[in-house]
Amino acid sequence: MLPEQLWQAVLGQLELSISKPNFTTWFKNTGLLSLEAGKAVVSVPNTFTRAWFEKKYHRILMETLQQIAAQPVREIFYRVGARPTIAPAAAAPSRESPFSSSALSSAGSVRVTAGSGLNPRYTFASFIVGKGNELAHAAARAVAARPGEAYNPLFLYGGVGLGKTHLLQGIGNEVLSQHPAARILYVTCETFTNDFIHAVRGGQAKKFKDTYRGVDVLLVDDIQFIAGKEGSQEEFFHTFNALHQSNKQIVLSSDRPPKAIPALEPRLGSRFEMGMIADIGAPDFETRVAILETKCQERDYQIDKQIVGYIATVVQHNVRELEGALNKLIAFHQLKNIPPTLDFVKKFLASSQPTRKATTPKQIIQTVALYFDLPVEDLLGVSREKRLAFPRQIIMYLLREELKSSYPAIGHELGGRDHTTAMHAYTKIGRELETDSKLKQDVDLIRQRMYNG
Amino acid sequence: MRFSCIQENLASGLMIVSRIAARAGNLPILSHIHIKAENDGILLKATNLEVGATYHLRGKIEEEGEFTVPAKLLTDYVFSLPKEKVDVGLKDGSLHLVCGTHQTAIKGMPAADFPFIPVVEAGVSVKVPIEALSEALGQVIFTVSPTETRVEISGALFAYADNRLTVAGTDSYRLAEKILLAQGEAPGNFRVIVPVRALQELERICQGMSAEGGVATLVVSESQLAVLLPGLEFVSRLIEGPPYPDYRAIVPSRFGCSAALPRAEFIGAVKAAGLFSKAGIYDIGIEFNTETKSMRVEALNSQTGEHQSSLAAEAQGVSTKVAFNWKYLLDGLQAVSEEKVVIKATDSSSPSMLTGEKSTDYFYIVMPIKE
Repeated sequence: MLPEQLWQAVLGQLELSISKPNFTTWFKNTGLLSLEAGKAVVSVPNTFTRAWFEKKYHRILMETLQQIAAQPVREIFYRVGARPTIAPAAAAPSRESPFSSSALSSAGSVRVTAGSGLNPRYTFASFIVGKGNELAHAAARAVAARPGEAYNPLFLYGGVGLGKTHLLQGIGNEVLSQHPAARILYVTCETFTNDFIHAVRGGQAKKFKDTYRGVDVLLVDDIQFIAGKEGSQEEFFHTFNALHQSNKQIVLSSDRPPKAIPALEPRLGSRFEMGMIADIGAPDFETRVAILETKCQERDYQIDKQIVGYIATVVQHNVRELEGALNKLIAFHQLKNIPPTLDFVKKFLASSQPTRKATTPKQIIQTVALYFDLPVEDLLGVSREKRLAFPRQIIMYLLREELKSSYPAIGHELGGRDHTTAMHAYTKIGRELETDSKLKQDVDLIRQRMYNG
Repeated sequence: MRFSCIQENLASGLMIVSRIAARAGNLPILSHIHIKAENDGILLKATNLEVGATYHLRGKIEEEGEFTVPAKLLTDYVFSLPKEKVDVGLKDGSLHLVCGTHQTAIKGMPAADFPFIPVVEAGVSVKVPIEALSEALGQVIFTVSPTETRVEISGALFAYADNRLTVAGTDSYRLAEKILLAQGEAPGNFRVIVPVRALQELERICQGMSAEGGVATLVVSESQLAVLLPGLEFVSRLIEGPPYPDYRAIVPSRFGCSAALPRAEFIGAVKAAGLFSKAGIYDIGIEFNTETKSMRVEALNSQTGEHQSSLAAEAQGVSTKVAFNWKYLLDGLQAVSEEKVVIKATDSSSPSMLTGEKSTDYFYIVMPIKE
């Protein structure tokens, strides 16, 4: 057993016999440095912990170590500091000057690993896991650990700027680091289509096939754009089959689940669903804070906790926007050479937040109708069929939330319904949104299309 | 445990150690004070696992023993007592205090669970007058900000060599350095980073003691700093990790211009101009005029108004104009201890320096605001 594993096992056992407050206080940031010939070296964060270990936990530690390591432990030394970390050495740039006029340019440079289309900046290590992307992250890791075996294909979907590309590339980079000889290809759906068109036009079908069918891992980003392109769909279908049959890993990403991709051939859609489908939701507050803090660390920039919290509260739905807000702030302050204050950040973000496109009731109705693929007239009609009633309630909810329409106005907008109907719909959807993640995803997607589309 | 002491002694001891006890946290006993009566004296101890303090309380021991009680409760209570003799005892798992007509029992926890405050290890030790240490801390540690992103500057540098103790701090926008004459005891040099929270407590303690004179002994070992004061041992962890930045490299050796002027007037002008600085930026302009031998302090805020004042100053060199965060400038001005200060600047993109007119043991550097 490695020292880290051994120490984890020791901690696991001690946790049972020591009270929780004591355990968290004393065993935080401890580690086993080595265990050789009955001599163990334990690293502790400070002299207080050392004193406590020496006088209080020495015996129990020795007994537990002995038991788990299955070898006699005669001595334990406690060393302050020097914890064995899985060094984030890459994120420690030179720190010659204490003043913070450091280079702004370093973060912008992008290197691409030749041939694979992978950007080495996107790794699992730099991906921050929260509630919303836990499943997707776990699935991606599993796939990277055993490509072609765990889940094939892996289909990741989620809104704009939540980390689909990061995970996709992370899989590629992880596989590459484990098996440097592996052939990995990362393409966007558009590249695939373009390559296909060129191949057809130039009569290079063989070269195209060799490129796409000869890989060990195929990563295709934004697969939803294949919708409506029949030739590409057919070619992709064959590529997919060829790879899948020879147990090569396929990972796809999209902004919506396979079922919701319009004009997608059923045989392709069903193949997308045969492996594992994982969604990436918007990050919760804690995750957003963690993201910001990591970014600050990467940039070697210090920023007040309060300000981080504020940015995380204001920018909610999109990691890319989150990063953008932080970058802008850092750039401004490094230019001016002043530390950011909360008041200033408030004003600064307010002035630079893009104003949302104004919507009208008509747009909302149309977007929802399009999303559920229902004719607008039916939605405004008298029928109370369930397939109509539910989208109708979503419309009412959105009218209230986004436009602050009055209940009678909402009723009027939807074919002269009573205001109590609108009230009921608003409270019902509002309540269900809290528990039904599928519904939440639908509503989020509709919102996104309303404002981005 | 049973002992007697006078209320003033108990109160002053508690005032020092109770601030060290943790507010609240995982381990409730960390917010307690450990009271111990043993053959070599009565000890009051507190720790938050970053800093620990042991106070030697003068008193008469009748029976040895130990116990812990909540720091804040005990301190607040003892401060409310009359200045008389206090009898302290232990009965039924409570600390009993009798003072005049007051009788109290305070519930606590057994001392066996109280953390051990590390013993003072052997190491390099130096002696400095408490008063000088207190002044140095006051002049430097306000520039240090407790940040987690760059641990190496979340504390102040303590460096000792050739009978000189250097204390320096920075938050990357300003920097202060003080050099103290110190007397080395055990041979050797050191260069360590001490957490700012520990230094804030140390400053408070030293301030209280500086009137009586006295000498502080700093003992630096591999992983801790111990400060031995009359009747008190103070121990702090050190910050490990990256070394302290080589700040000397960014201290300019030459400046375009300099001006000497009375400190009180300068402070007044900065405070007045500060009222008209832009919210969030706190910028004020300082214009050196070497022909008229004057310095103009000005600020402009489109919402509240504008302000200019002119001060007579012995300005030399090339006339220039620099913008500062007025709060940073004020902090520096207040830290210089002389009647007259010297401000040196080059342009709006290089650091400016504040020093006293005569002494050479202290300087404060502040980065200007670029416009």
